[in-house]
Amino acid sequence: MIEKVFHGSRRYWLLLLVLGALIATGIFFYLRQTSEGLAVTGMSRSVSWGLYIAQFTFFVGVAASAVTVVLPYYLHDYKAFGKITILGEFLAVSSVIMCLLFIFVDLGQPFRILHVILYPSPTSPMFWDTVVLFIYLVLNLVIGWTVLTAEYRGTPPPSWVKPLIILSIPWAISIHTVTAFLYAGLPGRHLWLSAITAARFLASAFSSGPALLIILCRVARRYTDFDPGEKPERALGLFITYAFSAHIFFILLEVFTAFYSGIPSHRASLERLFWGWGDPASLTPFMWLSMMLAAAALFLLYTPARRRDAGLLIASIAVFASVWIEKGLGFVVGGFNPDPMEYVPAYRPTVPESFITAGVWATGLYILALLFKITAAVRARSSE
Amino acid sequence: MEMTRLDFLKKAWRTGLVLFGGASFEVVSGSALLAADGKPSGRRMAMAIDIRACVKDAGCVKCISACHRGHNVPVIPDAKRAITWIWKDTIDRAMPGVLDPYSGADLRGANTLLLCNQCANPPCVRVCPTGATWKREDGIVMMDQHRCIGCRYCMAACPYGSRSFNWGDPRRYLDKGSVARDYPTRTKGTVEKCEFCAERVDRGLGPLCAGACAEKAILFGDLNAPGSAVRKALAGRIALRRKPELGTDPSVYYLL
Amino acid sequence: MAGNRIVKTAAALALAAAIFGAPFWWSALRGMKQKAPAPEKPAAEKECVLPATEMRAGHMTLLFQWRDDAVRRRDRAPVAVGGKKYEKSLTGSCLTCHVKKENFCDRCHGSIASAPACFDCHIDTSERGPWK
Repeated sequence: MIEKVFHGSRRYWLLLLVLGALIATGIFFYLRQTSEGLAVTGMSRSVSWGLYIAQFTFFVGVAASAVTVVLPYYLHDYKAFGKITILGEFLAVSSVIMCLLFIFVDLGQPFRILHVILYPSPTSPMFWDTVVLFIYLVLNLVIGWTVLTAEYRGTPPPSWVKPLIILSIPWAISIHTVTAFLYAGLPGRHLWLSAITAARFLASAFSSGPALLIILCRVARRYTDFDPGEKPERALGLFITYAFSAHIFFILLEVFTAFYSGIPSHRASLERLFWGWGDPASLTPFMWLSMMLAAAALFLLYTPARRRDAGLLIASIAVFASVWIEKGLGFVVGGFNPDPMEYVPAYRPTVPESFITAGVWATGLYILALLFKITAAVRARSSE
Repeated sequence: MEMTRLDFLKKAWRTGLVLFGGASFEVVSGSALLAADGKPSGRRMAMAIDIRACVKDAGCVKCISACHRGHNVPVIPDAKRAITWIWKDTIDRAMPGVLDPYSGADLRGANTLLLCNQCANPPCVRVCPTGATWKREDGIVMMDQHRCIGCRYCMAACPYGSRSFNWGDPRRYLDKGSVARDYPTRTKGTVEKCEFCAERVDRGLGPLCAGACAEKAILFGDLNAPGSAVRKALAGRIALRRKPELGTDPSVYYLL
Repeated sequence: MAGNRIVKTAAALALAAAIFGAPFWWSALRGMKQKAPAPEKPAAEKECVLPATEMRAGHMTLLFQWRDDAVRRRDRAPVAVGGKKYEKSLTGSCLTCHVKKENFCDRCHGSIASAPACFDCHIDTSERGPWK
């Protein structure tokens, strides 16, 4: 099946070329980071995690969202999702690889990364996150590849795949819960120190992941022969409506606790995020942009007539962008603000940091393009 | 002499046992390791900082100089990337809410010494994915510069801002001719912090900062020993610790 | 048809052999001969913590053991060998006899391009010049 990646349209090769160029640029800047150190990024003593870890956090959510198509199909026999479960699984594979790459590029001593496995630390959520993410990657790779191979051969998938698929469902929930536990147990970071952090993560994951899936299905429909049809998209659209509503609701719950209680440590980070207009390198404009995108998305999603076709695509893009800003920037960077000494530190990603990030995105998209190419080719063949 | 296959396998097995055994020993015994003689030493090293003595000379940084010189801590001009094992800041920032407009007015704006609190319940130790930081049996929270992968999770976990990361090569800012030769530098990509001069404590000495203070504002000793300098200072005086509500149980006291 | 396949396979195998054998025929062409690395032996001392053959094979393991003993297990008890006491210290013991990293460690580690990072942090006390 792998040979299918070598046959594609001009547009396909152009995509791979552009992504390849981005990857090469990312590698170039990463080599600079390896030799000069993480000083090439915008991170500082106060904001010690930045774009890389924020992206890691966001894409763990996207990876977990495969469960939104796998669960209905395999547990509840929701046939409409039959054609896209594999896309969900391959999106999970690509996302987890991006997550692992983001961790790698964020490390100060990346070549010691095996210390996490050689010297296991059961009290550390980061240790457990590494373990569960790796297993999730293997799970989805094995499931996706096996099911696709079966389709390629025109036979039913082997029976041992089914328990793996069932396992991947709670496993998807666990990867994002453990990632939330990275943040939710730290006594000094009050933006993160909340029971609802894990629930927020899951709600935002189950909005942004399916939103991306819809966008990818539209791209596939436009540029390839693969057409999953409207029914799965409509179902996903409905699901996104509920998940995204929960996500916004949870944010409002945090706002209530912070401001009604009036406790300075509870309020401070949210205040700086949403009312920090004068702060150095303020995130406030981005947070309000995120909220406006959320409002637009909810408006489109709540009217059935607009939750389809162009409306659904715009809503998906708005959901994805809104969650990306809030989670892929606001949540992680905002947690360091104010810092333990009550300063309001500035953080802006630098050019090298941005290109390394773009290089990792491009790697994920590249792998996704290859996997989707194989899937589309297998589907086209089996439908002959 | 040639090594037979059997020899190689024996050596590899022994190496594996050492590595794995060391690792599992740490997992089993948690973060508190035993002293070389196998007995827990029962000490809890702590520090008491007399705020009023410390603020007498506003610009004094003798403690910081002694510490940073003795441990080859680089002086980095960019404050965002600074490495500070110990540093000074206002009491308001160190202990928010302690001073208000009506009480302690004479200490407003005064600076005091800040450092790793060597918590008895350290969040940084809990979160470290490689065991690069751990709590010794005498309470000092140690760093293993060989083990650290530079993930900076400990920096996120520390509620006090006590940890610093080597964003670049610290040797750029260290003059090789004048470094302390009995103490290593660090390299880029690892986290470092005050370790209560553990290498001096092991030789029966006190920390460099305490020794350098002209006002004798820094007292150091065993919290578990009733006759120690720290216990004597704490007796009958009000002392505060930073953010006690977080449950970290810091070992640095600020005497009022 | 079959003949064509044989030709193609043979050509591919030859190309693979050329690429993977490059280190060998490239060195042979340029007349490079493998020289055994010659680390400078200490002038005074003839004995070390372990016999030379064991040191050659196991010095990294020994150093890691000392490192973990001293840093993690707080066991800095000197090692008694042959009537002498050695501190568990790279710069404090090994370098007192082997003096210059360049003339000793680098001779082997440089030739096999496996440079351990010891001196990124530990200070080579014999070197008075700028950081290398």
